[in-house]
Amino acid sequence: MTENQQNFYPIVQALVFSSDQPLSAQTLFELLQLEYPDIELADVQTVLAEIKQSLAGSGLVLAEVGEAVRIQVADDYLDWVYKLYQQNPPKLSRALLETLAIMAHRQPITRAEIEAIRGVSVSSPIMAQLKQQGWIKALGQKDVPGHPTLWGTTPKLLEDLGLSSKQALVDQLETIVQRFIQEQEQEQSQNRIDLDL
Amino acid sequence: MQATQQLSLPLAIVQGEPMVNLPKGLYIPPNALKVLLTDFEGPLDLLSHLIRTNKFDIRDIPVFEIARQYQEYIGLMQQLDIELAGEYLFMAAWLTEIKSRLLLPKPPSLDEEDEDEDDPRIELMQKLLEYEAYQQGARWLDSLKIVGRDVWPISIEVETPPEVTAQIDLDDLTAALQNVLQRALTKVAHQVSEDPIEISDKIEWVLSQISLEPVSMLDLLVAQEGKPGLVVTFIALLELWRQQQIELQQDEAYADISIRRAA
Repeated sequence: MTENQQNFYPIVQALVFSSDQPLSAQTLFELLQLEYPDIELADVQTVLAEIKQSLAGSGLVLAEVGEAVRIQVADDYLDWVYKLYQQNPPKLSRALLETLAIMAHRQPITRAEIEAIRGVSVSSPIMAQLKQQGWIKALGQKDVPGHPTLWGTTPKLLEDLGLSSKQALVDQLETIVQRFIQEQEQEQSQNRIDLDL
Repeated sequence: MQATQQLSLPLAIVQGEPMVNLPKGLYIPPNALKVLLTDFEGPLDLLSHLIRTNKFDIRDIPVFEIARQYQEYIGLMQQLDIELAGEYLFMAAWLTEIKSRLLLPKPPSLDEEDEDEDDPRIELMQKLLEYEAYQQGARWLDSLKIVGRDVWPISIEVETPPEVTAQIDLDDLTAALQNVLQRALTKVAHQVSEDPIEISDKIEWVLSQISLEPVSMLDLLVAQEGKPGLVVTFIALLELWRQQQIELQQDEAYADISIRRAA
């Protein structure tokens, strides 16, 4: 680290430790720039790397969340934290994950449309759990009779999943869904070739 | 054939014969089978499971066999008193409909290429594929490190100065009002009032004025005392006159009245 970077180190450290949401290097850079006009984005990145290095072997890690960083308990010690709070890690049911996957990919979407894809009703407890986690929100109402609520995902979901943007989430699901369907098609044409032979 | 017997295997094979129905009186830990059966996330999940375990081609679903196995599962669930969502029965009806449509002779088609689109299984296949694709999506979500489950973010809580916000309920408000009222009772404001003009004082004063010589009534009126003074003076004169301590004398109509001590 340069002398300058050593000056920034405790500031950046204080900021990443006290922030209650992931901080991007850009945000830190803009904040520091107010006081240090000649700082560069690379300086912030160097300092962040240094902080990450300094936490090696501790119970904490500096984790990357999309474009940002966050201090969190190192994976190996997560069980201990759950023990401290006498909890078990919450389980996410298949029904919840399927509902979330469809909602995230097809948003904005109504509950009935999700039910049509899953072939079974979306239970209220699942909607309640998703809402309580702050992962989904009402985006409006669909302009059809009954005006059903249109649902979509929240920035909190992206943060909790460690994704950089809603687009990244939608794109990844699109890739998974399309790839799966293509694979099935290839399998089928493969079968046809087998039959032809 | 082997594939078709897979469903029967979890129950039992008695003397080489698969037992499909639960024999009456046989004890099966009910939860064991129930867990397996209730694990399905709906009819599409169950169908998808049947197709995968039988290694059927999803693009060419043997509807008759799948419908039979599906019915068997439904039957089992009903036997075990598992409450069936209506969707399961709807799917059973749909499978039956597809079956019957396959049995009907196809109307002669003008276009040979059209044949595939007439296949009643296509819609089912598309639904299954779409659902399975989203199951993949769900698995991907599940594989992520999720805050609150796999990730415990840390932030040092920075104590921000407490904001004074009104967090009052009705009881607090009533208590505060009572407090104010109590304080108001102990504090009595100083009242500045006019000195009252006493008739008895006025009587003495009139007597002192006329002790030496008769005085004109107009001279007895004190301008600063205003109207109340005038009234009190008048009453005092009337009282003195009633007690016959003074004599009033008016020389002519509307003339000044002079007052003197009664002899």
